[in-house]
Amino acid sequence: MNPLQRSLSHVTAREESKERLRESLSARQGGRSRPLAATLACLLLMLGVGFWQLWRTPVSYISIDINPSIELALNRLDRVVAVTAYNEDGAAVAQGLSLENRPYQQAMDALLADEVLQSYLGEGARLYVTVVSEREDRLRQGIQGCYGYRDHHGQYYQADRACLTEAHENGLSVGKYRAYLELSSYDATVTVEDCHSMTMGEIEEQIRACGGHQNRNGAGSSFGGGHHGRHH
Amino acid sequence: MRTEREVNEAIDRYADLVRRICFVRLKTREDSEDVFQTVFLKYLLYRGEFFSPEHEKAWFVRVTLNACKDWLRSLSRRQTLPLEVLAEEAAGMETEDRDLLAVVLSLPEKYRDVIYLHYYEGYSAVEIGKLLGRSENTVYTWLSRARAALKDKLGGDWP
Repeated sequence: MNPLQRSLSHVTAREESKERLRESLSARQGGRSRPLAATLACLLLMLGVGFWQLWRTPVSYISIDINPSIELALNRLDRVVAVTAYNEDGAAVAQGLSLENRPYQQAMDALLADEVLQSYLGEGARLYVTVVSEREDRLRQGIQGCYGYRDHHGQYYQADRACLTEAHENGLSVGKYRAYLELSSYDATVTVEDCHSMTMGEIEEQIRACGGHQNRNGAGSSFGGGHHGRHH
Repeated sequence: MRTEREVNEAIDRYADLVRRICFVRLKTREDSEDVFQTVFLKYLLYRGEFFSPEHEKAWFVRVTLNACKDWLRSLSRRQTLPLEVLAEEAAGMETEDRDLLAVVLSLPEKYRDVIYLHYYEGYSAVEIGKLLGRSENTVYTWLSRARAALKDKLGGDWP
């Protein structure tokens, strides 16, 4: 007997666990008026439909913006159920990758390691990540632990559902739209159409240039409930 | 569907195996109960034939490994620490055995799997590759790295 066999010989299933298991399986084998196969089939169908809805419904969004703008939609299990590119550069990156059904951290690492996307990260370009989620805290920890995020010194933001809706109505990722809202709070002449053709770096550069200047629009400006989040 | 006798015999033969795999995969006893249910329910409903006791055992190994993986994917499950899992089994263990298991449980999951399957269950690298769905070369690499890690932390030879 080698040392591992000796050590693991102490690890066994307890009798009470085995007994509970026998009782539980025996109950499943017990006779019922309805055939077991039919019961199981109905149960599996109901579970399957419910599970499918659970699986496919997005509840969180991660926007990754450099100049390519790509949004990952996540289900309740934090797996990617949809990948949406918001510009041509984003589409060029997304089409070469298979990210659906992956856990979000794996998807982000794969995305940020992609050669096409990497080509946008030179020359002082920055990585911006924006999250819309009720579980933002946990996603933030996961994202900030991703190799790609750390390697490229990502900047993290959060936004809310209203911002997400407005962003999509305007044809922008929520990350870029959040940046537009922040810029427009300093410079009211900037329009969302302007931001379509600007890189994230250019938007952020203008925000920095305006920072500290009181160049706001008149009181009562509304972005339809959109909200720009905090910087981490 | 298998008979009650077949299922009871399977529980007697393989419950310890399932529990050990759960242990190596850092599952507490409470979590293991659910893995038990999953594995033996699949056995109850499995319509295939087993050509030998070895074939049946390999089936249990694969199904248990997959059940442990699926269990962990659910985000309501928190990650369990090696010390927590070890503490449940530590009573009556010699220090040397406890230290060895602590080191094994601290290894990355894939190394734990190959160490367990090779040194405890006696599977070859080829057989482990089939159980885990990996190439033989990958298994050799993992075994080699796992051995190096064990040697580094515990000394001794791990052939």
